[in-house]
Amino acid sequence: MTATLEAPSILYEVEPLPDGRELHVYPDGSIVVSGRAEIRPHPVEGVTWITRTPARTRARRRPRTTIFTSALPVRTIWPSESSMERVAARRTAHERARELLLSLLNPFQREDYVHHSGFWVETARGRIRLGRLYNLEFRPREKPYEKQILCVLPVNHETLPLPDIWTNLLLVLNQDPDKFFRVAVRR
Amino acid sequence: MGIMRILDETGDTVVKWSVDDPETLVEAESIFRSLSMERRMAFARPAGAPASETTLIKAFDAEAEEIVWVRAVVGG
Repeated sequence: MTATLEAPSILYEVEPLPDGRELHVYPDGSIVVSGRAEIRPHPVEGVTWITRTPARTRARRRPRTTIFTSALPVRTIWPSESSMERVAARRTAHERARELLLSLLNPFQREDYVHHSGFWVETARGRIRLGRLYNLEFRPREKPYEKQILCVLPVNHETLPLPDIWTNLLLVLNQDPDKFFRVAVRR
Repeated sequence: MGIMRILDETGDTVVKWSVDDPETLVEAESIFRSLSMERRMAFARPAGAPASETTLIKAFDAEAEEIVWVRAVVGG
């Protein structure tokens, strides 16, 4: 329902809102909401409340927040000695594995691996790039411009340092490429 | 003196033997047999040689300078 009221100096519209308040729209476009909002929405015509509406609104006590108060001391959790030992052991393993891999690479492969963390291996079937786990780029000899993605891994590869995985695949590719391509999953 | 490098979570575990020392030789042979039964593959190479100079071996070679043990490969 919209009513137009005439004030001494201005003309404006008053529109009742569903929650019981009133919306005042002035000619210059500004609006004012007046009145007190009901805690329940305005009932739909012909539909009754399922439960009784409360007689009055009651403010709830704001819960006390203690999480971000400055009174709490800041506690720094340092890595435990055992976890630091594990990290150190993993780093040592990675270094050993890398050393072995570098000793197995030819000078071109070594330079490629040092700068790009990957290297190409030539096989009778084509070139294959080792360096991205689960995504080995393969360029078949008969279609060198075609790129295939293969996935080959050593058994229980998750227990090996990454350079050991490349050592594993490199040696198999060099000496038993048929086995490598037989198990390869093409993506 | 020959060495076997077995790839594992530590990078690799080294087993050394000498043809003049029967005890180390027997132990190295025994390890070779047990790893072969795990379907692992052994590649022999002259010490420090690149992968292109490695050879896939099926039996223990006491004269090999270095044997690198790798795991079987599977599709991922």
